[in-house]
Amino acid sequence: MSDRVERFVYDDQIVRMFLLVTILWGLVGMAVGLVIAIQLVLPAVNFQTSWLTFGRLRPLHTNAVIFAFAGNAIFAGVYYSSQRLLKARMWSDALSRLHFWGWQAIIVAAAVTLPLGYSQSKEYAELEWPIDIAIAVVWVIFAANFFGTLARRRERHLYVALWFYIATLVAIAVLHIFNNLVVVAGPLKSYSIYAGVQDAFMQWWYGHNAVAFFLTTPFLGMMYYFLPKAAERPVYSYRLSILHFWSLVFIYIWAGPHHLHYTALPAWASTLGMLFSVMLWMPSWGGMINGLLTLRGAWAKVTEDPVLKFFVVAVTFYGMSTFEGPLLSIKSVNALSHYTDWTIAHVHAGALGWVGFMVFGMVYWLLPRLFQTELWSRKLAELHFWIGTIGILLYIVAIYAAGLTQGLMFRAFDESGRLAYPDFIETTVRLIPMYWVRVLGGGLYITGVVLCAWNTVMTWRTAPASYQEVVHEAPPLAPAYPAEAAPGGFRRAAWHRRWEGKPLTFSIWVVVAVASASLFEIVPMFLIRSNVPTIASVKPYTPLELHGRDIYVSEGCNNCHSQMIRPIRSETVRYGEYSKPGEFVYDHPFLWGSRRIGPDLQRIGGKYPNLWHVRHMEDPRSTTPQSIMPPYPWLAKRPIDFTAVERGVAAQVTLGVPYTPAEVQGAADSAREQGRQIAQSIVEQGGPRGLEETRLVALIAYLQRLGTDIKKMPATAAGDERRAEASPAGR
Amino acid sequence: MSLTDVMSGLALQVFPEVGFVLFGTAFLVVAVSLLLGRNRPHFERGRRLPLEDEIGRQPGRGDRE
Repeated sequence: MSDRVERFVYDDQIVRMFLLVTILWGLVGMAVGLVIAIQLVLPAVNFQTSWLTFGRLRPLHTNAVIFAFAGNAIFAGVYYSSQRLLKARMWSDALSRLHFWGWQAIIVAAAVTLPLGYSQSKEYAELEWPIDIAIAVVWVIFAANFFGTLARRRERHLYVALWFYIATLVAIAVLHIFNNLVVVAGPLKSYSIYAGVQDAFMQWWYGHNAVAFFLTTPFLGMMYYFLPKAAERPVYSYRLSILHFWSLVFIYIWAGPHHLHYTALPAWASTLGMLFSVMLWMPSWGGMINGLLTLRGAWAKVTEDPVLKFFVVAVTFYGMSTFEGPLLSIKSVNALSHYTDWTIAHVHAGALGWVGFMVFGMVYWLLPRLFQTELWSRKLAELHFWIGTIGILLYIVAIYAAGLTQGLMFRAFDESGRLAYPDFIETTVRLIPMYWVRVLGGGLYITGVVLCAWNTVMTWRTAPASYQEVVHEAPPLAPAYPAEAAPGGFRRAAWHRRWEGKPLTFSIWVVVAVASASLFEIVPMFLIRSNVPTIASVKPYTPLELHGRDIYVSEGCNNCHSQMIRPIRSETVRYGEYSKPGEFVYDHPFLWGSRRIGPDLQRIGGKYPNLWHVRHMEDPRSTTPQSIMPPYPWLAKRPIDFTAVERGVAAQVTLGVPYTPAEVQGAADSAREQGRQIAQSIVEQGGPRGLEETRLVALIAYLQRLGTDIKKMPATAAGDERRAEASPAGR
Repeated sequence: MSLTDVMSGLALQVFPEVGFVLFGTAFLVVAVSLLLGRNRPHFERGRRLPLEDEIGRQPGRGDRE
């Protein structure tokens, strides 16, 4: 090894920048979450304002807390720990700043466009195509900077935290690109290239793995770095970390279909998702055990140090959430939990407990180091910990209770064999007290974040006028491992030791793990014909219905209403015939939803007259007295954009939807005529005049179409179709 | 014969089981490789890496100390 020593300085300014915006966006994202929690108990808080309604704010909340709060925290943690683990300054200060400002610009763009109703509808992937392209570009900048730093590192060995960062970088790029492939239909409008069942599959392949590779792997990397630092003890088991990493990376990617049990997804995919989800217990608990046992011999410190308190509770919530996740993936459990608040409770146990507390532990550990001063108030940090913990418990206990309550009410039958709660609203009203407790718990959690923000600002104010630049020394990277360091073969795990010294090889194997698992599911899903049996009576939407569907997406109706009736008796009795894969072949994107705050709408078409929909949109409580749905008065005032109607139909043709050239050319006229007919029927039913070219009429056209195609099937053909779908080959 | 024909002819009922067996085998191979090895010095160094980053620190230009 060379005796030469190189001197270098870390770039901590970029870490300070990411850390400060983490707290800022955390406050914003969680405040929006609190607002929508309040809206569910006090619908008037929507203020009859389009950009303040639940359907538009809910994606803003999820995107803000995931990509702004957690995202900036990830970047802060990665930039701080990677430089130190690699003994190298980040490859390019310019790329670091581009990454920072690019990401903040994306967040601002999301904060503007989502409340304005520009959405793709897919959960955690709602942002429209120009922002998606910006995300891809900024991610590439981040990756170039990270891999550039790996290339000029002074430490041969890649520590386990870096493996998790590599997996994050690779997997998020793959997931983001393939789930966001669209056909553009306007400056801020696009349609997914996938339809129906396949779109649902791709979305939850993405959605589940966004949790895996954005909210799990980077935080595990940070756990492996910051927990040993805070405890001043090495990680418990390096062998366990190798098993943890590879099992997690390989297994997680298969598990997405468990979000679609008993839907129109083929049963083989659903079973595969369940099986691999259950296997996830193994690596997840391996990681949790590794984290907690790192503290062996250091438990006394936990009582004194708020940083360790946050970390211990975070790792504990990681264990709880990753126990519950596989449990929820078991089909029989999922039949009860799906579409209820149980899922929301599960998500928040992970988000508030694992992600949130990992972030706050890291923030309190970093503050004195980054600002080169004492933490302003240790007592305030302790108070934050306790307020936050109580807040989480109140939130999740109430929402678990709400989920179980609603799930059991959905499926309850009375002695005569009829639904015990036939009116959906009964199940909603029963949850209101629990929703109040959620508001209290969420309010406490945010209060803790306010304390953290206060502590951060005050610590920052006591920082020196200029920061010391600590110069570090290390020898340059040796050209290869010393001969004695790499002996042995398979039995001595030399293969992994070699990978740990070769970032490119290591990254390629991560790509292989992620891609092979993905392809094992995606290729059969797209190539097997029997996955989506066609139904002759299912036709493309009319231009007006298609535009109404766009409005449905824009208003975020899918955040509260599903369009997927599972083949479960309580659902077919409540909503009608169960959903078939062939019903969704023209649905770009799919709109199956994941939560029923309101009833399923798959068979709503023809159930009520047009006037009922007018009244319902004007004031939901006029038709359903206890409804918590916000009113949508602007739909009856805002005109249809007939140019957008034409663009929409043309884009659908590009996607393969069989509109004739005449239908494309006459899209606007067709929409006008259908709008006139619906408006006339509304007048005949005693409703208001002048609705023929309003968005309300387009939305009504879409709602009245839903689920009606299958009713047009001849009786014998319908029977054949059902038999085909019930056969093993078909499912 | 297209790839679609080939895939459509597969019996996918066994697909989850095949995936499970493949993964289980790979997992056992890795686990055996790790647990039977005698790499204590390597693993020991690896697990201590985060604690090493203070080594080599020197006050630099602009330091107040």
